[in-house]
Amino acid sequence: MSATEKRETTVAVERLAPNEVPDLLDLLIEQVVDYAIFVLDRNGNIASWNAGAQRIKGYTPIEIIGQPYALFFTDEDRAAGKPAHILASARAHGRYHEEGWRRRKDGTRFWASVVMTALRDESGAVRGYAKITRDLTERRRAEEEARVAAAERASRQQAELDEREVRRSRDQLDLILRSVAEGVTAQRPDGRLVFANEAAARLSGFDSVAAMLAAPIDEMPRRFEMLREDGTSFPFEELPGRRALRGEATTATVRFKDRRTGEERWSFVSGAPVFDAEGRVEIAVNVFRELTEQRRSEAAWQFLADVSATLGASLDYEVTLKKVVELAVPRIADWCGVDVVEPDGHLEPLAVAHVDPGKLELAREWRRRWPPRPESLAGRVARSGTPELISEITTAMIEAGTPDLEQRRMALELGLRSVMVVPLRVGNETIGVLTFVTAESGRRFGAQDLVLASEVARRASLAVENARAYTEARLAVQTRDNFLAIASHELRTPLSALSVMTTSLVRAAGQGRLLSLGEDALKDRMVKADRQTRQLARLIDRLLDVSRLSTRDLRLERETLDLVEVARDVVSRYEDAAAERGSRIELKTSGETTGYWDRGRLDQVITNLVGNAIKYAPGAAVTVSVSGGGGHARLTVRDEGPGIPLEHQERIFDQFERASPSEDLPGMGLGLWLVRRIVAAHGGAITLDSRPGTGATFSVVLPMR
Amino acid sequence: MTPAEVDPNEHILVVEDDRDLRDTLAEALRLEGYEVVSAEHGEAALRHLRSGARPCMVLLDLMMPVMDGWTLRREMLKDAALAAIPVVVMTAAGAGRAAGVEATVVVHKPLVMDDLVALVEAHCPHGAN
Repeated sequence: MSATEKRETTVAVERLAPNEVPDLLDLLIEQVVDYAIFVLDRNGNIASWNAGAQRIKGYTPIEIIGQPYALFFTDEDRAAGKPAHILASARAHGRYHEEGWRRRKDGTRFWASVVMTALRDESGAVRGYAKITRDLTERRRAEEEARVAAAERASRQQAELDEREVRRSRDQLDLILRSVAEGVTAQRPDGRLVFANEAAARLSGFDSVAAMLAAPIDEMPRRFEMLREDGTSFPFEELPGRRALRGEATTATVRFKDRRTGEERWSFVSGAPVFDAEGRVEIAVNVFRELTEQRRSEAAWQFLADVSATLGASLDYEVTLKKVVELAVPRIADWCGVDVVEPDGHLEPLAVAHVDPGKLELAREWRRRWPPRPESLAGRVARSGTPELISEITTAMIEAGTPDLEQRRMALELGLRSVMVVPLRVGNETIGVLTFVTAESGRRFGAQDLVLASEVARRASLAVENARAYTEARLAVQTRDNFLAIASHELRTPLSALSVMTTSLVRAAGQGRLLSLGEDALKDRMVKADRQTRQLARLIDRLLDVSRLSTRDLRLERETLDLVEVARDVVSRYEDAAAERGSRIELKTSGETTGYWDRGRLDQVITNLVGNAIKYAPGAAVTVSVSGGGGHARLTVRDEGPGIPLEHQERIFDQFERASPSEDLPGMGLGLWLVRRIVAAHGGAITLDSRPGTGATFSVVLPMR
Repeated sequence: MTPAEVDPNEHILVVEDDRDLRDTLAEALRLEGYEVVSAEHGEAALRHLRSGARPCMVLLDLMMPVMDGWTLRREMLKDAALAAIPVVVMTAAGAGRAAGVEATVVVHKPLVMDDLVALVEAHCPHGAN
């Protein structure tokens, strides 16, 4: 007992009679049951025992008094020398306090609070020890329970936290897998899908992830024909997903062809196995990336590059356009056709290509039997010059667009899916249209495809323009060369006559024979020389006129005039020449023949036709008829000469062509070419009707205005 | 002058469709002292030759109506009596076209009178002196 406790006790008993206090103290000690209060002798043997000690430790006073207090310690504490250590500590410090395990008589342990106090006499020598022990087992149990409960609570909270964290990261992973563009699936070894993201469902043609997960195992091969890059069959068991189930990690490019629609998608597929602790495949993870658009984009660029190369390879635009059509199939379309706009505005098929060579003839027949009509898509594009796209061809559209039942039947049979038509434009003129169609492949054209097709058309048009410009330039050079050849040829004959004559006179003069010719002969020669000089001058004028007209437009100087007047002028000019050759010219007129024309040019027309008639049909009758009515004037020049051979008729209006060589009049083969140009500039037309032996009739029809 | 009026064996035959050149050649050669017969195309010339005339030389144009120079020359070569007559071809066409005809000489238009006189002198007895 501490000094403070002693003092308090003393205070408590002060009201009692002094002699009563020791007895009460003894009673207290004896009867207190909550504390074991006993005394040890100097050696640590038990010297007293109270009721509390007996209750707590289980020993009766008789059993325990005289026994060493070390009995109360556990074996471990005893072995560690704890009983002696406590005594020594109490001796050294006066008091020792601890809580620890102690042993009862029956061997059970209890948690004890122990206070050991050294008892000293007046000299300070240790006489023994007072020991007060309290059984704290209950308190400790409660504490322990509270601790365990707290620990459990803490651990439960942690578990909850952990679980929430796991769920959160799983949700995140799920979100990531759902939002990636790649299709991701996980498959159990039995082939059953346990996970699929949205992309996987979409790429596989399912409406939802749930539908994909619910589908039977063989659904994919049932839906899709799987092909390798080169188009050969891809065995099901060789697919990366199947190989992953066998423990292999592989990748492959796979073409999935929808067995129903024929639509084809390209995927880059990788399969990887996930193993369990025993090394068995637990799950096969499949990741597939859509390559279709990339493939299409690559194919589009390759196509454009090939088209450009082709376009540069030939200057013949028909050859060029045929090549473009062939290049378009199958990379861009299942069918491709090109139609050119003819001068009268109708579309003429030039070439067609089909992905299936077997159907090419069908495609050709189609175009032959049902050429594009003005109200058709191609006809519309040809007129408007604006590209058009029909992404999805419906049965209703086919029915509306094919009034012919046979054509409708064929159109439906062909399974047309998508179509686009782009114009080929040179300058402001639409020279043709390119038509791209899909059917078998099931692919649908989109805005991107229309951009590509328009670019192809733009490049093709440019090539056509270049080819035309080149052809024109080449023709111009050829025309010039022809012109020079003919011109020099035509100038040589009159020049020969002039040269021979003057040289002859010079020679005669040199030999002193000039005057012997006589004045009349000399005058005759001078008149001829004069005529030849003027003829040469006229010839040069005409050559220049023709040369100008070859390269420039013909400009008319129109006035109101009567065609009969012009014809009469020409006929009167030629009367003498005709008579000289045994021919006669007759002029017949009827109807209203006044129009708004170029007098000089029409004079040229009639002069040419009449001159030709006299030249090529010497001795035959020539009839010039002028008539009018119905807004047109008609001029015919008919001769009864030998006629013009059929083989010459076709080209007779071409430049530098002529039926036979000239005689008196310089004929450069330009006359009829010029006539046709003048008539065309007036908006009219010229035709020839002739059979060998029955003469020739040239007919000119001119609109009045 | 018509073919019948000249010595059938002492003349030059000019075959040319251009009237001015034909007349001018005839006049110039006559001024040099030669007899000249002229024809406006091959057929007229052939008629003259087949009538028995034997000119000392033929001046022949190529491009002519009715019968051209090439045809006339082929007809002459087929006839042993006519094949040996010297023929001077006059052409305004390129050398290539004239190559197709078998001729003693080919002269190109425009013609040079002095060259013609030299050719004539080489084949025909001089009529002027």
